[in-house]
Amino acid sequence: MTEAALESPAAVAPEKDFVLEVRDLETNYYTHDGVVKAVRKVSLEIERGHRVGVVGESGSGKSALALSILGLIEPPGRVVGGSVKLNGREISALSDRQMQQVRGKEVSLVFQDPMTALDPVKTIGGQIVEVIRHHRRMSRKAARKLAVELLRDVEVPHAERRLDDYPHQYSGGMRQRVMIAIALANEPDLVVADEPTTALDVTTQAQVLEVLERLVTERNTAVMLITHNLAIVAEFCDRVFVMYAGRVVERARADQLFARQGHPYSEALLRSVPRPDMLQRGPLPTIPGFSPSLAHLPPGCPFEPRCPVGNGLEVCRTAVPYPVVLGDPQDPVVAECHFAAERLS
Amino acid sequence: MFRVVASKILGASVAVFGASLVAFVFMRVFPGNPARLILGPLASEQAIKEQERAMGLDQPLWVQYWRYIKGVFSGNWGFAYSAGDSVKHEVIARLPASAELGLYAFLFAFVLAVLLALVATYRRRPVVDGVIRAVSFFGLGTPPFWFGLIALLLFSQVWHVFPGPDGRLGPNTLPPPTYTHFYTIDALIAGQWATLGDAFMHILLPALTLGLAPFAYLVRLLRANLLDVSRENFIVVVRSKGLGRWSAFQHHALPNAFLPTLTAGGLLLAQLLAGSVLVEKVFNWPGIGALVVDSILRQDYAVVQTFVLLSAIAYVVVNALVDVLYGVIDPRVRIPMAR
Amino acid sequence: MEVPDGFAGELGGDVSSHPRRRVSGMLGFVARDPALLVAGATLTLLVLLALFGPLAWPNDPLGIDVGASLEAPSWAHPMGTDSVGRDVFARFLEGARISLAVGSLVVVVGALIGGFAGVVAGATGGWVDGLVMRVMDAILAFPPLILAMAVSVGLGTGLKTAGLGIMLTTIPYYARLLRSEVLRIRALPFIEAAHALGARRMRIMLRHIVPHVVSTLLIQAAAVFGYAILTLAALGFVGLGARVPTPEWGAMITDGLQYFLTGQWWIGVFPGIGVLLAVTAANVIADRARDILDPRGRYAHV
Repeated sequence: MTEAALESPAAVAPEKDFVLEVRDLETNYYTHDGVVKAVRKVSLEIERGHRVGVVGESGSGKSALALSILGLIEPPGRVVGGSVKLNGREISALSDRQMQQVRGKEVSLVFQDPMTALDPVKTIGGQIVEVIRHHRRMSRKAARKLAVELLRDVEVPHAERRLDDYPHQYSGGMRQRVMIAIALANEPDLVVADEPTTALDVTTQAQVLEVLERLVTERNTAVMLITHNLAIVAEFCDRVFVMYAGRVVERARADQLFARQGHPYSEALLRSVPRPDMLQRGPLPTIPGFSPSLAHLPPGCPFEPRCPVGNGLEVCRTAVPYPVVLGDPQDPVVAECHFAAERLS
Repeated sequence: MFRVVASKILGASVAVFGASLVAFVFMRVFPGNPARLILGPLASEQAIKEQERAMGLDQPLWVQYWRYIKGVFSGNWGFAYSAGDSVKHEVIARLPASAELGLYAFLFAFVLAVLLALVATYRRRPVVDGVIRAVSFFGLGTPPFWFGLIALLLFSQVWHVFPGPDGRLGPNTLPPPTYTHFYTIDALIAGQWATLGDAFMHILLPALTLGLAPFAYLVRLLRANLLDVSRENFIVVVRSKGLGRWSAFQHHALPNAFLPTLTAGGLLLAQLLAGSVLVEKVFNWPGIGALVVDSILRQDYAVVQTFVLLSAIAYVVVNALVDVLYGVIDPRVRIPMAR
Repeated sequence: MEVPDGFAGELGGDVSSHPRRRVSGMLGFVARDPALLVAGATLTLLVLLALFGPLAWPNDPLGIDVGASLEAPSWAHPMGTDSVGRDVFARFLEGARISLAVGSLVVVVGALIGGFAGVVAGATGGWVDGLVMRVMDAILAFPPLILAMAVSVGLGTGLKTAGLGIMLTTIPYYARLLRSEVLRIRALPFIEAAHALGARRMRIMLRHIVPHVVSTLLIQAAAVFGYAILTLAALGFVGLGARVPTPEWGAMITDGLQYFLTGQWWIGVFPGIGVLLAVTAANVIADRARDILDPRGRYAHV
């Protein structure tokens, strides 16, 4: 079973300024059940100030991808191959010591589940100041002032007073905005947001995203937004990478993807989003079956058992699809499906 | 907040009241006539009746209980016939010895448990883990009195590293001047280095023996709590800020793990109280535990009764204190969510 | 010495450090876990010794032979003889019998009483619940060993009262545990459904709640077994357990107390090893049992 490598877009389009370049990244988890291949030779790139969506269901390897980029994979997991370049610099081989200078400053993380993402026994202010003072020589007073400004930026009312509150005194939406404040405190070039709104209700989601959008636009920060919510991707992202079973199975500009999908999984995903204009009654469209176990992958296309196009087909069951490059070579759509070419022609 | 503290105090008082009832009931209601025991098996019925009247045993039970409670509050804890002195006197005289031993046992248990739990969590290696679990099981399964004897045998008899069971000081050492009644601290204050060394050498083995079970318990509790906390999301977030593993551990994992460990405080006291009864005799330590053991042997129940009641009170009080302390330290409890 | 709370999680519950268990029969499962294997073998050995030892070993545990007193371990007397010439090994075997028997009895009866009280309190609610829990709180106000001592002293020394005392101290743990289990299950939808269908309270209690709580009870009981043996030895050491000359392990250690430092170590050492082995084996097994039946620990967060 071979997994093909893609040509580096930096080679193809060297004039573009890439904040992040991931090439053939591989991460495994060594568990009692066997080797779980969470990230299987994933390649993606993000230009400065651009916003990229990484879409997939739980178990597709999205979070593992985020942690791998930041070098936060802990045993029993390990990054076993590939390269990660941040601002042109290779960071995948850096020691943890060296990465400590990078995390929180050049690239930062906005984590999912705001309810558990903050230390419950430390003040909000303390946790913001922590990231500031770790990377900059600043007095506590100055850092506090900056923290207050950041809180105001993320629209936390009475910021000065609320700096000394504890996380449990903040609502979920406010906590998530604090996370954004922490992530942006040192003006990073890239923010990786892992399911930033999944745990929030719809109204709060909108508010959080609005804050995020405003701030990253102001600062020209690139964003990798990891989510399973296509609606958010449509609103927020320029480019989309669809992940399934540890691989990027389709990559395209957002407008391209929402118009036509090369990979059946992308199509099924889009179709499963309920829309207000769905007037017909009956069951909502879903993707049947379960995502495959990343420890025991089938020999052919991992989506085959659930694929409305390829289910049962010999070629899909036995052969792993190569990435098919279509469209403008400077800005291609790439899909890993035996039928991609026909589907997109 | 005050409401919570008040309700805890009320709960504790009720528990203490219940404990005093139980303690009293066991001593008075059940077979075993104290008057007969004091006078011996050859005493005549007449003499026993006299003694009973003198001790107030002929009164109805609730009168007896009331007098007992009054007595406890007024400082009359009964008379220790075997020791020839009032119970209160004996207990107070022996308290410092037990307190000093308990303190050192607690220190050893706590410090060692924290160190080992840290090592186990920070450098997660299966061998280390296995050793710690083995040590913990051993500590919880060993009878402390037996362990003390083995320790004495090896370290005192065979290897001559530590002194034998001659109590708090060697036969040729004079106690230091009295400030706190703790020999080690008093010797330190007075600058008597030889005495300090002697006192320390004498307290080491008993303290380690007494502290073994608490240590075993604490190390597993801490390790479990640390592991739980290390898996929390906020630790990942802290690391994503750029903090190193040790920093994240020290500033975030440890404080969060210590909090639930606090609740074991009452249990630890119970272990130390019970343990002192079992360990002091082995080392000839002149504390309350040894007094209780001797009293049991001589069937002098006033002492046992008082010890049982005092233990219950201490246990309830410490548990209540720990509860309140937890409420003070944990911001989630201290500051309600409504704003 | 505290009564272990079978679900407190601090006594283990870290599944990731356990070797892989594939459910291929009990033996296969036990074989993959070396600690469990050793503990199981130890306990089995002790049980066998306790059951058949006194029958197989000719020497009389109470047989005094002053001429052969204080002899070091030898082929005739594998654990030596004590101050009046009794064979320590024979006494050790008899002591094993006593410890294991009393331990088992205490655990079983305590579990039944405590479990029953807890179920009744949880299922009935109201003033019954309040009363039962107040009684339990009164018992819990005492450090366990000390309460057991009080009962022993109050009721007169002897194995029976010692056992009673120990059992008394364990009852609240079962009661509390089972009461919260019952309350938890009562709130589950399927109980409501049964109630809606007209089933009487007693019937609900028996047919639906009880089966669920049995495993809970078993785990707590297993955790208490080691404590019972240890406490019995402690009571014996202090002179409150078995009466002289009964060869209870704790009392035997007291016998050996004065001879420890004069060189006749065997009188006190062997009984202590017996206690250590029995209690540790029991604790390890209980620990593993809890890991299987309740890995994350419903009450894991102390």
